[in-house]
Amino acid sequence: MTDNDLRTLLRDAANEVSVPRLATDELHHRTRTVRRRRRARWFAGTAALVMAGAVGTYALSGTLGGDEPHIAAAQGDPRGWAVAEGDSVHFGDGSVVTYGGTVNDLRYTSVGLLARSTQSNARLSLITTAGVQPLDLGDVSDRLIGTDPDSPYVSWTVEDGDGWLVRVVDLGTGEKVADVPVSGTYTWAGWTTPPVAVDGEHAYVALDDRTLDVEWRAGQVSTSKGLPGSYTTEVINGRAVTQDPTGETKKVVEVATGDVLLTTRSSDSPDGLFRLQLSPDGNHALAAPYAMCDENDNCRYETATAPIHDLGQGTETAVALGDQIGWTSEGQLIRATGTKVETCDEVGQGCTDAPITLEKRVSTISGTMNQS
Amino acid sequence: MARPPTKEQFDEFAQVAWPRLYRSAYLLVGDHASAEDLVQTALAKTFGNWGRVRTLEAAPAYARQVLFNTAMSWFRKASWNREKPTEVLPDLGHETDPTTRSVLLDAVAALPPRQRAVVVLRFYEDLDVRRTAAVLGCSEGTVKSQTSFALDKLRTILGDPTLTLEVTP
Repeated sequence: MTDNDLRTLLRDAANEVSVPRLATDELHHRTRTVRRRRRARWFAGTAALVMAGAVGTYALSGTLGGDEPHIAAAQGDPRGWAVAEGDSVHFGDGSVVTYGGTVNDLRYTSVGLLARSTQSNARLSLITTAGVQPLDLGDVSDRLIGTDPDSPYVSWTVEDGDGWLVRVVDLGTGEKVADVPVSGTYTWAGWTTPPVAVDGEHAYVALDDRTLDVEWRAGQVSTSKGLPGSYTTEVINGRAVTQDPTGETKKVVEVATGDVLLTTRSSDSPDGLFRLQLSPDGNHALAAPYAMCDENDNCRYETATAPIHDLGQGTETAVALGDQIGWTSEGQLIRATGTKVETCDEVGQGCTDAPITLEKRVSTISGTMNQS
Repeated sequence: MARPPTKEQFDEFAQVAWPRLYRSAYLLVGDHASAEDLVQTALAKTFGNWGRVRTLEAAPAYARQVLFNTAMSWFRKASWNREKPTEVLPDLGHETDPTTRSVLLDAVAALPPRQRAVVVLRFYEDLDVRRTAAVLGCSEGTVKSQTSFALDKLRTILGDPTLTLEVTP
């Protein structure tokens, strides 16, 4: 058998796919719909409308050695927020740390920012204002790791026979604090093992037909009432974003009960496409559009404003997006526009420029998960 | 300073871009009706932002980005994830030949959505690792690992250990 180059085979196969004629009437209908939505959204945005609106066993403790995690606590402000430009991480207090690679993720933990490199998804580091501490968590390549802004615990899954272990590590001490066995069917996502979200002493593992609620310290495993299967999301202070099977409706729910705190619909968005993101304190949800990337891979929002929902008050406020937007770990908004970075109150008002000097623009803001 | 392309140029662009976008969409979603819906959706959104497309030359990459953003949004829906990817294809009752079009397309359709998207971007759209990562909003490491997993799975499904990737890094 001769070698078969996938690129050639795929092109040949694709070229044999019959392509129907472009239905221009349908396209014009859709473009008119998009235009009407954009006009409606513009009106709403400029008005700055505020409206009322299975029991497992587990292994505990023991500092890990060999190819297991070995982590010493980092010095510096563990709660600082930051933006990244290339390999530089600029903290809100003006300090700058060189990461030594391009930063993809900056996720909050109580002991510093968990950073992931764009070059290698297995390269993880803990970053504080004091500097960078490389982490050796064993093999975490191509897994979705759960983090909690209010705790030092991170979690992921590792293969264990026909199932997986839900591994929890305390980044502050470098200790593995739990390995809870779980089982089920996992085919729905492309990560090597099932993705995990962490919220305090709960880890949420997304399988095909359900999401497991793993009380990792007690070793208890049950099925989450509030989270479906085949869907992963961050869980923050007991709250999470879910969406219905059609994707038309997105909700913020209490994961323990399934109670709905907020319901949004794709038709509310100008192009029907947005992500609902929870603030690190779980009190607000931003219906942010997808960022668009140009031919030079510069990514930014293309709409001027997006609604931010106060989950406690039931109100909605239009907030200016800038190029990118995120949150501090305390729930203040961070907005980056060109070389300007500012922090604002939770609904984007009362902004203050941060003492940050950038060359061109922010590539990553702390507190926003950037892993599809 | 270059003027943004006109609406008339959008109509021309849509006609020209349609076949390639359609084939990418078909590889992504695996059926004609969904592919047509996906490209129509992507083109309509592209039109909605037409004023921001700086030059006509930038329009294809822009429309592709919109198409993949939309597709990844669809893939996040549980119904897509449950219905589309399968680990093993039905027994075909005969030896498979990866040069047979339908067999290869069925094999690609059996990949999990993220692996499928990576395969389409790298081996049909011919993007390198860095640009694939930018389109999908993930790390370069993820693109590499997903490529590797996808190739392993395609080799298994197709029964062809000689399937290769003439990859440019």
